Amino acid sequence: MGVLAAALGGALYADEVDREFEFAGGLIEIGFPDFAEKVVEQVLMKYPDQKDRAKLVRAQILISNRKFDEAQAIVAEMPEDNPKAQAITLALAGKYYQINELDKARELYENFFRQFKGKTPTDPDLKRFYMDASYQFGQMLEKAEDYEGAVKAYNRVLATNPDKAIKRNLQSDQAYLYLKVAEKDPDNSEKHIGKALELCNDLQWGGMDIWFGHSVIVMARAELLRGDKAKAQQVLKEQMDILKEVDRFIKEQDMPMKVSPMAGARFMLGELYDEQGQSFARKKDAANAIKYLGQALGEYYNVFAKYGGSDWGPEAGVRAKALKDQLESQYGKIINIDMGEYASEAAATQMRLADTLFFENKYPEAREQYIKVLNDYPETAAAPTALGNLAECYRQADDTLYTKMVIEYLGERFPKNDNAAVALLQLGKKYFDAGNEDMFTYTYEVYLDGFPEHQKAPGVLYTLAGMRKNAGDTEKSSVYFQRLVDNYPNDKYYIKALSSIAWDYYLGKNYTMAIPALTKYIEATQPGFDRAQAQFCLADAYRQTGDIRNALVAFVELLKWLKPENSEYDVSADDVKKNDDLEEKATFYVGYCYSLMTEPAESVPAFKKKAVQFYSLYLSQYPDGELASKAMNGMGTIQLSQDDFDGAVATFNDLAVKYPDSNEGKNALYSLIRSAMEVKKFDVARDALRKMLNDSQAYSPDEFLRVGQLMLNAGLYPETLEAMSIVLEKSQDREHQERALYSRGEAYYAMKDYANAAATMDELMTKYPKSGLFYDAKFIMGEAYRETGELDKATDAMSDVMKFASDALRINQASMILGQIQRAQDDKVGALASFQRVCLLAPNTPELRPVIRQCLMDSIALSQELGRYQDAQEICEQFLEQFPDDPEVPNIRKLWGEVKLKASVAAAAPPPQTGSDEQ
Amino acid sequence: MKKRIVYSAVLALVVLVCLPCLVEAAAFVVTPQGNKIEGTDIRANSKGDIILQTAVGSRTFLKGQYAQAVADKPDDFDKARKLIEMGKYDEALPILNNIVSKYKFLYWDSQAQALLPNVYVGKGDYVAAVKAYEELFANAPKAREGDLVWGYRDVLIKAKQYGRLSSELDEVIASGSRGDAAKAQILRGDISRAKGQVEPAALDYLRTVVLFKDAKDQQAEAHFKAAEMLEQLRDRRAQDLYRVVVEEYGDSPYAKQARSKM
Repeated sequence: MGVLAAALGGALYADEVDREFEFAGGLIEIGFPDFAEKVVEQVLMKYPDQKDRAKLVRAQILISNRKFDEAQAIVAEMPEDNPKAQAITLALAGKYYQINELDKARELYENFFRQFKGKTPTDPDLKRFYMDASYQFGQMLEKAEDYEGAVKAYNRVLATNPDKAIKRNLQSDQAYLYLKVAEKDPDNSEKHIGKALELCNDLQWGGMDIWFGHSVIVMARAELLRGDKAKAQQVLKEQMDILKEVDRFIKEQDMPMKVSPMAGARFMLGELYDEQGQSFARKKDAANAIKYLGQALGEYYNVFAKYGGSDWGPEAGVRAKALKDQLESQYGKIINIDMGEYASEAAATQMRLADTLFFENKYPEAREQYIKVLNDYPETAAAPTALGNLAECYRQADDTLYTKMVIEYLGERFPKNDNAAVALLQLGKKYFDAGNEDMFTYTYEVYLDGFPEHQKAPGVLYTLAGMRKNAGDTEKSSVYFQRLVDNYPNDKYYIKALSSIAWDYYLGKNYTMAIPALTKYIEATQPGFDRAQAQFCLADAYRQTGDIRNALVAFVELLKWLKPENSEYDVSADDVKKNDDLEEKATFYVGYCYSLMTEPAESVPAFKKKAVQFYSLYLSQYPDGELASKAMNGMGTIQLSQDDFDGAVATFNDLAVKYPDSNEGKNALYSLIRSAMEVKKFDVARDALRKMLNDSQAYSPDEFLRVGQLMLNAGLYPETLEAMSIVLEKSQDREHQERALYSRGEAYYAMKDYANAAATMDELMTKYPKSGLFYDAKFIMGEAYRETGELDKATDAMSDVMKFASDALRINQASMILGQIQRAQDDKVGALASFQRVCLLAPNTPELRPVIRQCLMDSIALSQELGRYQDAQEICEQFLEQFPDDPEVPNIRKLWGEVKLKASVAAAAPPPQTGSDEQ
Repeated sequence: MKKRIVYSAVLALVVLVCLPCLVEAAAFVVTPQGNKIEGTDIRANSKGDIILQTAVGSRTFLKGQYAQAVADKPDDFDKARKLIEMGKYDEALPILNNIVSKYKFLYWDSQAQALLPNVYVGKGDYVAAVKAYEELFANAPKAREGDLVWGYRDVLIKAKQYGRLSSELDEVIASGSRGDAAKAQILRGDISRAKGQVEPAALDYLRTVVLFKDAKDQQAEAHFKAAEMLEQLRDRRAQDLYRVVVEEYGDSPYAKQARSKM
């Protein structure tokens, strides 16, 4: 291969480059400018000297994207006589022509041709463009009815010495053009007719082919122009056999019938009959009028149906319809035209007129033509494309309502029709490019509903889903993704959709929905990082929903996938690293899940053992891993729960030493303190607190708060005071302050340091009168002040409770304490009243029973002290009734007997004497 | 609408009647092979078996063994029809119901059933009219293939039973003949309109206006209704459409209304 390449050397190079540039040009023509750019880049990489040619292709790309100014900028950079610059100019002219900017096109063409002064270019690319440009320019001039100009343009093509077929084609075109010139210039018509006939002569001597046939038509037309209808008819008649032969040849060769000269011949016959018929009609000779008009109708319809693609086709259709209407309205004839096998072609012919207007951007005219033809031929093969163009005409006019009307019709009436589907897609794309989201969404929705089986449907769904997702509309995007998943399980977008759904749920913390979605996604994917990651998140989703058993199963499964040395999940080097991370985390979480498993109860020790095993494994394999401190903490916690206290201490110490900056490392002491309290190793707890206090800046107020609370709960009050002092020092945060002050107050009270207890609670209430600890603080204040003998303050505290409390428990507790305070104040009557308030009014709830009991007991005692034996008796009875199983019952019964006797005696005693004795 | 329903029912009658063997004959049975067996008397049992009394004795045709069984025309059938034409629905109703039950399996039941919807429509009881149509179609499925089905669809709308009708109309619009599709589009537009959905209604009417010009019988109605919807959408083209109704469909019942809107 290398030798061959070397041998061929430049030739291969030239062929290859030509081929690539031609390929790039072709890509542009079929609408893939981006790919064309890539081809050019590749060529330049290999052959940097082809810059100029690359510029040409790049300019074509710009022109295809309608970036005309940028294309002209490329031309401006190049010398005027540079062939590539000229080729770009021609390409620009061609595009302007295509988009109906005829003046701009003409200017460019004329400037270009002026440069050559009649000489033909030799550069291969330029020559190609020159020929195409000359022909296009000729077409343009023809359309603009500058027939002489068109002839000259075609002469330029002929000057490049094209092959025979092209030459004869052009000569035939020129012959027709000369006749048109003759029509326009009647004074010199014979001159032009002469030129036409000269060309016909050349054509007829040149061979028996299609162009020979056309030359016959030109000759017949020439006679018509000269006014000799009979001669024209004669020419046609004489050559009809040849024309039939040509027609048959074309059919046999499967060539398009539009090129057959028979079209022109029959059209001319139609014209002749038409003229004759009209003449009879003017003379009111109905019979002959009908005869000739009928014949004309037949000829026109034949041309329209069989040769619809020819130049005469559309006009034949128009004239046929006019004649049909005339025969029906003027002569009452009923004309039934059965196009038979030609119906589609007939429709296509009429469509051509509409299409021509459409491609010339004459949208209002195209619209009317499309409506006409779609009503005449509503459901032929050409209809869907025509409807798409009709919709575009409405879109161009910004007529949303009518556009929608056509869109819905397309989607509903042409199901499974690929052209209809494509038409909708194209329309949707136009709206998309215009940024009209409402309408492109609408159009695509109609497409999806009407053509769910179309090959692009999954892609469209995926695009719409992605757009909604990017706009933050996850609800709608989910609907689209789910539709993809439900309906296109075999499409490449299926897995992407599954992935989106699953990740949306997971990342949105909707773990319940994430579980089935992830499961489905995992089932559908191949081994690789994506699948492994999904498995990890599935396990995590289970964990998050509290389903530890399934979480464990999923983590274990993941480890099975990733553990093997050459795991099939390690698809690339990148995957290896990412999978390692997953494996690390999964190892930890297996341990973690085991640590949380509680069922069946008899297996818990085995679970704990497994947990420790996996934590140890993690720590040995990933000592610096992100989760190492957590693993160690987990181990210590398990050791604590298994009463392996020494092991736990060692572990927590290790944790604090090895991972001092981690949360767990910092909380190691806390965990240790807690566990020490639980097993009543208070010295260890104190030591740990000492450590914290010695290094207090390393610990947060929250940590001291938690430790202080542990101390309080365990009855280590001095330590509580110490810890809470640090909190008060470190933080002015209200929550910290309240909690710390209250806890100190509690500790003082427990230590029977009532003065400090009261003072601390007072400080709390002063600083934070609306504290959530109000009632608790007030109760302690009340009791503390009672103990210190500051009974007024005690009373105030309880009154505050009773003033603000709304729940029975607090109110009655406060009543009871108030009673106790009053008793201490020797206000027995007041105290009795306070106690009785509770006994008589407190609801008999479990939480209040102890309070009621105490109040009853105190009431009995006070009643006796006050000599109110009857009251005491009743209170005893109330006690016996409410607390029949109370251990004090025997005593109370005995007391009842005593007070009953005393009450009777008191009742029988004479009333005390009043008067002088009392003075 | 009433006229159209009556017409449809009468048409149905004609459709149902225009069978190989006709009404005025005495009792007869037609076999699946197309043979006609005449008799002097005919009865049917509750299972649909037919007993035909012939000159040579009685013959029994089990259900499935005959294509059709026809009794003598009931005396009061024509009376019922006349009462309907006169608008005396309450008088016609019991007669028709009696024929339906008495002539079950004997041809005249379906004939009477074909008239019942008209009676209910005349009485304004659209729900009953729907039921009557459905009973007719259950008894004579071929009746659904003719124009009667449009009367049925019409009363479905009047009875506000949109759900059932919508899916039927969708099917016709998607794959029915163009004439039927044009009619169905208008009906579907009517449903949307009844639900206050102006744009969907407009789209359906406009479709008939713009793309179904061959459905000439529907053009006046489609133009007029489309114009009404465009008016609600504040689209100036409403006036153009009213003008078309007046100028091109001057004989239609919509022309007068359109003129008043211009």
